[in-house]
Amino acid sequence: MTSPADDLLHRLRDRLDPGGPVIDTHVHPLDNFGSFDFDGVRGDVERLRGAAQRAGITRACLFSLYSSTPRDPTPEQYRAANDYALAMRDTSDGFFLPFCYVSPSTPAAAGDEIDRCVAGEGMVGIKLWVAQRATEPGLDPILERSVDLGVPVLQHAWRKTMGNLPGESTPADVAELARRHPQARIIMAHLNGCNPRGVEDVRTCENIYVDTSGGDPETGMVELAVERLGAHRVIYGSDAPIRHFGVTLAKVLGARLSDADKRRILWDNLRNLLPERAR
Amino acid sequence: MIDACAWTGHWGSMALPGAPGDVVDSVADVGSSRVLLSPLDGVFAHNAHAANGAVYDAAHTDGRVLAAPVIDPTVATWEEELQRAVDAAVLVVRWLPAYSGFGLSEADDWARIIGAAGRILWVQTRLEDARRQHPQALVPDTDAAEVVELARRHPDMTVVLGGATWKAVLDLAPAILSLPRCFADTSQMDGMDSLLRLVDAGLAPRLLYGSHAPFFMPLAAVARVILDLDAETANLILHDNASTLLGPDA
Repeated sequence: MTSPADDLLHRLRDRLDPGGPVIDTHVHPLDNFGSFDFDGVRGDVERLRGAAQRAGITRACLFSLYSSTPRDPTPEQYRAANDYALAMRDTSDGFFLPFCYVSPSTPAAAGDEIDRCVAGEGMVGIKLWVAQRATEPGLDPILERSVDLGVPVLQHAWRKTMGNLPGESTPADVAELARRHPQARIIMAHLNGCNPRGVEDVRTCENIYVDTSGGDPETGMVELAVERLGAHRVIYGSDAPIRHFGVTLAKVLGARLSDADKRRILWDNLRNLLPERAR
Repeated sequence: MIDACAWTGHWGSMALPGAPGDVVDSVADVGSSRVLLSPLDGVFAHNAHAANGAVYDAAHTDGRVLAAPVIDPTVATWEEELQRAVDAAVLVVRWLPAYSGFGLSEADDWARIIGAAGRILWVQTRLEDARRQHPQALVPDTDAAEVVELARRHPDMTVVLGGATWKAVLDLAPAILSLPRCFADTSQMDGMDSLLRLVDAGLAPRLLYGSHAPFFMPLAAVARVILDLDAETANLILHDNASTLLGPDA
């Protein structure tokens, strides 16, 4: 015989069960953020994957920004970051799908690193953070290479009221990038950080997809993105460990959307963007 | 389940489903049978107290609602508003120091009066992430450490640290644990393993579940509690701690 309190917990766990596979498009190693206790790559994998699996995540795209998370990493730093992500992939039985992190400030080295990690090691995407805004020409060869290799580019974006970092892209910057590279498939990070105005900035750019990671679990934001962009352009992401896998997943599970649209957001849309080897 | 942090009313920079019935239904949908409800319409008003009627009315018409009026002690007649709360047997009053425009270091006399009135003082440190606010309505967070320091100066009254991040609360854990009547709510404690780490620090008896509805989605608020914690600890946070604090009527 269970108590009413236990019954309630069971019902809530059922509500939080995604009811199918989930790919998280936006995860960082514990090595980058969060002051967690863990023992090396294996410990990082076990704690991060364990938290993800408690929430019902099946696979996760992973990008390391290097241990000290410099805003504009040197080639040595992003190579080390990518080596760490590859080690996590190889230690996780394929749970983690690494993206190649580079800086457009060093275009030649970035190109070599993309070739090493994507063409050579089978990474499944390219990650750009805050080294340069998406309006800068240094991004162009990276986007061109992503098209050649058939992988998406995940571009950090935010629209901060008090002002972005010097190299931090706004959604309008990402829209400009998408117009320069109509063949590229761009995942713009941080729906809640981009806010409703940012959704409008990218509305007409069909090659931009928006991930739901980052920011607070605000009421109505995922529904707004679906209404303005279409469910096919919205992709689940957490930004763990900065954010909680389950809290961010609840943004989708608790949204007033059809089950079919939720499935697209949680699994189908990203699967369709990733190369065959990630499926 | 008791939702210790929810709001009703309008918000200028976004359309919230903030009608009292909508908010109460949204938190009840995830199992909350009681909700401490505070008004938003007074937050940017010259006199915040003018909006408190909405939560008194809601409490009068819906047995699930416990009114938690906002008290702005910089309004000359604030003690009349406190008396209204006492007369209505309200248990919790909320301060929004950053919106009212006062610092907690200058609030001791006001806190003393609230403590003498036997009310629980909830100090809300944040309503919105500063990065997300409207550019013409910027309000900084209140420092969580200042709330705990206020609680230290007033050990005989119950003080709730509202809207703080998990990291701020973790950093303050020793101080909070040294104050038997100091609590914190979970409504903005995002981050992987956030509550797990706070529970490991010994804070389980001091955490109150809050959704921050209608700003945030109640399902997200329960996720951070129930996915990581065992049933006994989850029930402490979702119900038992608040029930002990608020008494059997809650």
